[in-house]
Parts: sequence; C-alpha cells; structure tokens
Amino acid sequence: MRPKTEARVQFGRIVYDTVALCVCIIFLVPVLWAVLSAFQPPQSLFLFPPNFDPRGFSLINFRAVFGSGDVPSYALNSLIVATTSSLITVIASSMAGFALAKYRFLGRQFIFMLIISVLLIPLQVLMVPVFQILKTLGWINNLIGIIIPPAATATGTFMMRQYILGIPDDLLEAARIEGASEWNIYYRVILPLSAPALGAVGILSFTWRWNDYLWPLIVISDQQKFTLQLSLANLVGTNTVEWGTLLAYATLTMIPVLVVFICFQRYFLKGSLTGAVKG
Amino acid sequence: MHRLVVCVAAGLLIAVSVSEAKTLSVLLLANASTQTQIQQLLKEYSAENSGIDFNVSIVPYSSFTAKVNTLVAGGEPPDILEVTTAYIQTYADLALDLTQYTDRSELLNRYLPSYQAFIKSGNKVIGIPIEATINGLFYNKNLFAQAGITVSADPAHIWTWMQFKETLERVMKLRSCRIGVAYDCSVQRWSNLLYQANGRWISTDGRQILPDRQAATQALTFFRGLIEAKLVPTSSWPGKTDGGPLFKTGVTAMMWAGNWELKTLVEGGTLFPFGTTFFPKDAIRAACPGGEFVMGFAKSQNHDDAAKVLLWWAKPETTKRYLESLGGSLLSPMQNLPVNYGKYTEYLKPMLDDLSATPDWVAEDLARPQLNLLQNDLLDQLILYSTGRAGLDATLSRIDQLGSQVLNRPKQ
Amino acid sequence: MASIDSRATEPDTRKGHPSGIDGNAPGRRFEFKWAPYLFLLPTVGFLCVFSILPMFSGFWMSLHRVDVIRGTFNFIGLANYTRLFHDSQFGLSIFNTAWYTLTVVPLIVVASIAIAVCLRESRPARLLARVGFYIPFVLSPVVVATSWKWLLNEDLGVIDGFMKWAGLSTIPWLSADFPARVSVVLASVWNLVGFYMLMVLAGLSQISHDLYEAARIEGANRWRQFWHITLPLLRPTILLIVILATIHATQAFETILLLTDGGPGGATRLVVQNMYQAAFGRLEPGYGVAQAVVLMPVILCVAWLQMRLFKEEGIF
Repeated sequence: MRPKTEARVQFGRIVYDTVALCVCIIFLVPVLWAVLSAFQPPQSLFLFPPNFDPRGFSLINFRAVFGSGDVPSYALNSLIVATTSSLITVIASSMAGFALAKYRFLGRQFIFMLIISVLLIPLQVLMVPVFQILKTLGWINNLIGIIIPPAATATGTFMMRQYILGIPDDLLEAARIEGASEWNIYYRVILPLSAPALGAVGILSFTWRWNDYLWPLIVISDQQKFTLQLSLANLVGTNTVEWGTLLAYATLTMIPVLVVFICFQRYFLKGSLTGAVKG
Repeated sequence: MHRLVVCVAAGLLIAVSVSEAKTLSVLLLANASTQTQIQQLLKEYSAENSGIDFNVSIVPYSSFTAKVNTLVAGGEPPDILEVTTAYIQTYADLALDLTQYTDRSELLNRYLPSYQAFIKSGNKVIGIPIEATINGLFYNKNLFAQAGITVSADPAHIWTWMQFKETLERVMKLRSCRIGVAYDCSVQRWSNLLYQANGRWISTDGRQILPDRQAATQALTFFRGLIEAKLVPTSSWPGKTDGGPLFKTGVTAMMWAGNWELKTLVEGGTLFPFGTTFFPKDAIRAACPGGEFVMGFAKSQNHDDAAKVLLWWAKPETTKRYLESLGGSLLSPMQNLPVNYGKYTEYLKPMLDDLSATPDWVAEDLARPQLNLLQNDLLDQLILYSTGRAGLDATLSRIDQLGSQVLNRPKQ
Repeated sequence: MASIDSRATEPDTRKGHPSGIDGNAPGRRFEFKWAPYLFLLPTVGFLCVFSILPMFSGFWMSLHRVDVIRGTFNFIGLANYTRLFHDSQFGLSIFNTAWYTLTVVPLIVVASIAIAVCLRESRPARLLARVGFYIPFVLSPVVVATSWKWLLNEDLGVIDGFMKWAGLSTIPWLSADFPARVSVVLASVWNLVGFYMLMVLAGLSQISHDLYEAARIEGANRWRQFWHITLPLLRPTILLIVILATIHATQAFETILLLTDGGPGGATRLVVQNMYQAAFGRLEPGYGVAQAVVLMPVILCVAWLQMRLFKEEGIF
C-alpha cells in the first residue's frame, strides 16, 4: 500500500467521522434545547428569542429537583427495578428464544403467535384487571409488582429468537454428540454465542424499565416506593407545569441509562461469529 | 436480589399492620404550588391527634382517572382524595357523606354560593373546598405601553368583546408582539365565552346540551373570529401549547388563564412587567370558578377518621392557615374569610371582582359530571369549528348527538 | 466432528428422548421433549398471568356496560361491538393508525440501517455518534413531546423561523391535518431510531468480515458490498424490525398524546388513544376493550403476512 493512499484513506475516515458527528448534533437539537433550557433561570425560560448565554446559566432548576421529593430514594428504586428486571428479562427471553429457534415441538407455532399477540394487548385499557391480579398476588404497592410482570417481554423473546436462528445447528449437534444436556447446550453454547443479542436485550430492557410509567402508576401508591419516572410525571401539575424543574429532572434521569448503554455497547458489539462460520 | 426486596417489603407490611396508629391513605394531585403545603397541614393534624398518620401519594392530573378508577374498582379507594371541580361530582355516589357527621346547612353556608354548588349532591355534602381558582386575564405591560393602551382598572369600564378584539389588534401591530392572546386549548377556557354570552352547557333539567342556541352561536362565532384574525395563535388553538410558556416569551400581549399562573410568574419572575385585568363582557360578566376539594369515600378503610380530618379542614381557621401557607396565590372559597394575599393582592383584585360578578349558575353548570365525560368530544368539535374545518350547523348537530348519547344514558 | 458411526453407537442423552439408536428415525417429526417447554415456561408463564389473563378479563368486560365507579356490570352481549361499526371516530383512528404505521415503519427501517451501517466501525467518533443517536430513545415522552412542540411552534419555533428567514411560508406543523401527521411521524422516528439501530448493529456483528474481504479482493466497491452482502444477510434482522416496528406503531400512544393530543380535531388520534378516552374519558371501559379485541386479530394477520412475505424460516 503506497503511503500516499494510506494517508488519503485516513483523511477520508476523519472527514467521515466529522460528518457523522455533525449529523448527530443536528439530530440532537431537540435534546440540546431541553438540556440548555434546564439551565435557564425561571424568568429566562421560554424567553423569545432564547438566550442561551452560558453566563446566564443557573443551577436553580437542578436544586429544585432535589427539593421536589426524596430523589435519591426514587433513584435507588428505579435502579433496583431496572437492574433486576433486565436480568430476569435477559434470562427468560434467551431461554424462550432458544426454545423457539432451535427446537421443533408440538405447539411451536401456536406459542410463537401467542407471544407476538401479547404485544398487541394495550395495557392502558386493562389497568383494572391487572390491578386485581396483582392484588390477589399481594404485589400491590411493592417493587416486585413492577419488577416481575413487565420482565417477560415479547419483544425480547422475539429478538433473541431471531439472533439464535443464526447460530449454526452444527454447533448444537456437536455439543449433543459430546453428551451435553440441553441445559448445558443453552448455558455453554447458546449464551456465549448470542452475547451481542443478550447485550442488546439487556440495554433495551434496562431502558424500558427505567422509563416505565404505566406499571408503576398502577402498582405503586407509597411515595417512598416511587420511581424517578413517577416522580418526574408529578411535575406536570393540574394547571401549570414546573417546566424548569421538569427539564432539569429529565436531563438527570437520562444519564444513568446512557451510562449503561456506553458501558455495554463496547462489550457486546465486539463479538462476531467469525470463527464458527466458514465463509 | 429480589428476594431481599421481598423480605424488606414483607417486613414493612408486617410493621405497618402491627402498629397501633391508624394510617389514612391520601391521594393528592400533583401541583408544585400546593402539594408540600397540604402534606405540611396533614402533619399538623397528626401532631394534634396522636394515633393518626397519613400515607400520602401524589398522582398527576393526566393520570388521575386512571389511578383513582383503578383503585376504586379494585376495592381500595383512598381515605382522602384531592379532586378538582371537573371530577368531584363524578364520584358523588361513592363519596363520604359529611352530613352524617355534622349539620348540613351550617357546613354549606360557610362557603361561597358557587362552591356550595360543587359540594352538594342531593342531600349529601360530598367534599370540602380547600382553595378557589378563577380564570383571569393577564397582559404584558411593556407591549401595552408601547402600543399606547391603558388597561382599565375600574369595573365600570370593562371592555366589550368588540373592544377586546380591537385592543388585541392594536397591540399586535407592534413588531415586538408576535402573539395576541395565549389561550389554552380546553373546554373550560372556551366556556368562559359561553357564559359571558349568557349561555350554558347543560340545561337545568339535565336533558339538553347547549340549550341557549343564540348564546352558543355568539360565543362560537366570536372565538372563530379571534382565530381567523390570528389574535389567538395556531400554537394555542389547535396546537395545544400551554399558555404559560407562551406568555413568558415576552412577545405575547395577553394570556387568558387564571390565578394559578400567578405563583410561577411572580416568584419565578418575568423579564417584563405584567398585570391582570378584568375579562371582557358580552351579555354579562362571567369567569369560570374552579378549585380544589378534598373528599372521602364511604367504603374506604378509615372513612370515619377521614371525615374528622375533612371537617377539621372545613374550620375557617384551618382553611385560612392553609391558604396563607400558600403565600396567597390561591383564593379563599369561604365566605367572610379575610385572607392575607400578600404580594398577590394587586394581581388578584380584578379576578376577585370577576368572581363576585359571576352568577352562581355558572358553577352549577361546570360541576356537571356529564360535561366532564364529554370533554374530549366537545373539544374536538370546538376545534373543528373554530379553525374553520366544520360549519356551524354541522358542529351544533354533532354536539347535540354527542350530548344526547351521554345525557340520556340509562341510569343503572 | 463426530462421524456417523460414533453417533450410532453413543447412547442418546437428550432429555426425555427415548433411548436407543432409533431416536433419529426418519419420518418422526414431533418427538416429545421436555426441554423446549421448560425453557419457555418463565416467559410464557409471566405473559399468561400478566398480559393474557387481563385480556380475557377485559374481553368479559367488553360484553358488559361497566360502571367503574358504582361497580355495576350489565350484560349487553355484543352491543359494544356492533356500536363500533357505526363509530366514525373509531374508523378515523384506524385510518390514522394505518397511515402512521405505513409511514413510520419504512422510515425506521431505512434510517436505522443507514445509521448502523455508517457507524459500524469501532472508531471513537463513531462510538460517540452511536450514543448520540441512542439518546432520544432514552428520553421520557414528556421531554420528547415538549421539545418537538417548541421546535415546531408556528409562531416562535426554530423550524418555521428558519423558513421565514429563507422567504418561505411557514408550515402549520401542529395545526393542520397533514402536517400534524407528518410531525407525529417525525417525532416518533426520531425517538425510536436508536432502539432499532441497536438491533441492526447486533445483526451486523453476525456477518463475518471474511465475506467482505473476499468481495473486496474480487473488486466489489462499498456500495456493492452493502447491496449484495450486508442487506441479504440482514434479512432476519430487517424482518424483526419490520414486525416489531409495525406492532409498536399500532400501540403508539404517549408521545403522540403529549405532542398533539390527537391532533387538530382528531387527525392524529390513533387507536390506543381512542381506547383510552373511551375507558377513562367517557368512562366506558367495556367499549374501550372492545376496540382492542377487534384490532388484535387484524394486526396479528398483518404480522403473519409480513412473516410470509419474508419467507420466515422455521415457522412456515
């Protein structure tokens, strides 16, 4: 490779990177508006034309966030719920996805369509029956009630199934011939090979549970068991909205989810089946 | 991990059931102006009455029916519920009847006639008004000064609808004015005009919707005119942008809102001076009274204790204490109760005057639960007509249709 | 790798499988194994209890006139369902949902593939850009709706401000039927593309680099590599995205509610909002559930058709 072409390729890459970042920033304009507005003192919020001069920035909205309730508790609740539920989701949906992808059994078609049809059930109109079921289980006003029920996601199962379909059957056969039990096949062959999808489902599940609103609304009544989303929603008052506090709160609540994303995306997007697939 | 959570939760549940104190479940509406003060007030009650504790939960208005109906249908109604004018009559059949605990007329007569209408249901008294709100008209002093218009401070010289429209047109000629009047997109705000035209939504016998066709037509055409003249911006109708943020931009001449905006505007401050003034009049003067109430449920776990709390709140000194803890931005629903409104006094003057000029039947009309059920449908029709997408006759006949569906619903 | 001989002599250790060399006799298609059922148990169990059971309960409700407040149930048979046929509001919401779905799904597929493919390499700038595109997915609907509402404000918003400056007439983004529908689609795609980008990235990671190497050696340029290697091998992922996006689109509710509340006079009111208003606005929960019951088989058919179209392996 001649050095000149190498340099051109490098330069091309840098231009590409810059363009990508610029597009990304334009894409994020609404978010930037929200975040910058969070730093506006109350009298400047919504001012037209907007004055985003950093010298006028104030932390008053962020202070108000912590004054709006026991935010560290809510954050802890959100964290517990999101982490636990994602773990359950990753395990449950990978097991289900494996079963649907790699086994032929009676009722396979039926169960598959059943799982998809669950996605079509709008919880919004079923709040009363759901409440009654949870009440029978004794899970009302309990974090369990928002960890377990939403943990079995049809979307997660579907995603895992699609990914596991791509794992070559030869590997499973090889393991079976070597005497592995079905559980071992799942644990030692499927799980490691589906790491990218597991990571994706984990991240998405964490995001969903972190942002869940409907389930906690139905289940939780005790103020101290509130999640961040419930507490944030309460900034939308009957007649007025606490815009400054709300924007600051929303800015803060998105940070943990982003951290999870950043940490996990590098881990799960590195792998590929290069070794197993013969080109 | 979740086993730990179960253990902790179980432990808490056991602890709560074993303790001797009674804990009343309280469901409050999310409202930054009042929720802390209400909890503070309840703490004072706990201090005075040992053995009574409160477990307060807060729910936003948009999820109000969802949450309350789920709890009620699930057999767990809260002991005390904070509710607005739109919803108090909806729960009338299940409400805790306070006449079982005290004298009916004595209790009712403490309150302004408009508010008596909200808490009466047959012979029952179903709740206690804790604060009063009233619609009000705000204006940007800078823009009005630039346009050379003085706003009347005298109730004898109130704008007519035409004068109101002309004023807005004059101010909008300024380059620095982008929006005429920020007008929230809701049935309640629009109803102001209906009442000013001396019309009502539901007839006194409860069978017909918009019984005064002339008044209704008057209000509908006037409002449509405001939109066509671009005095009401499309971001308000039908854009549904909140009036508060629009007014705070500083390029809006007026805001058709209510006294609840005062707290944000006065304490948060604005970069421009603003004032309040009287609503314009048509056939009569009218503003929409509203407010917050607390009520109980007859079947809740601790309804007797809840009744005691409600009646304690109904005492003038408690109400006054509560209102003053709010700083004075919200009004008193009680008769003959002088409350110190502090820095809000000047702003509240025109609104209080509007409130006293409003006939009592306005509150009765607003309190009808059927009006609440029709909210979304009526708003659709109002939007369709006001933005020129539907004709007058079509709109009125559609409203008749929707109205009869609900008003003539078979009673169970 | 084992040879055929060893397979014939090893005892078959699959759980529940009849032991003996004849376990793999050709022609036997459905053999009873415990394993798949056990693997499916947690998911199906949870879904049954928390989703399917409420649905049955809801269906029961739809056969009654339910007064939630007084707790009375009056059996009215299929009256709610016959009412749906005459309900123009319901019809409008179905049309809106169909329009929305048919617009959002292709946009999401194209956008997520484009972004994922462009950001495929693990260079720092592109990893950062990935986070950037994911951020909108993480925002709560209130923030998404509010920020878009302000951007699209006809009097004061940035977009119309730009158009005025460019000499064009402003677009009534949220106050006219068609622009409102477009706004809602834009805001939704913006919100969701990060989620689907992740799925495409996971799918891309399954494609071996060797294939691209081989193609490059044969002289194929980037575009041909994309068209002949990437796209075909992404087929399962694309199917997944299409089905999920379709189903999620039919369930779209909260963001649209906050952005347009059903749009100017109902132009952006989708089915779930219609159901919600029936249940909690007009207090007719039976009628709300009836709408859900009617729509489920319709959407299921659409999903089934999509799978047929993509010749989904393994099921059909």
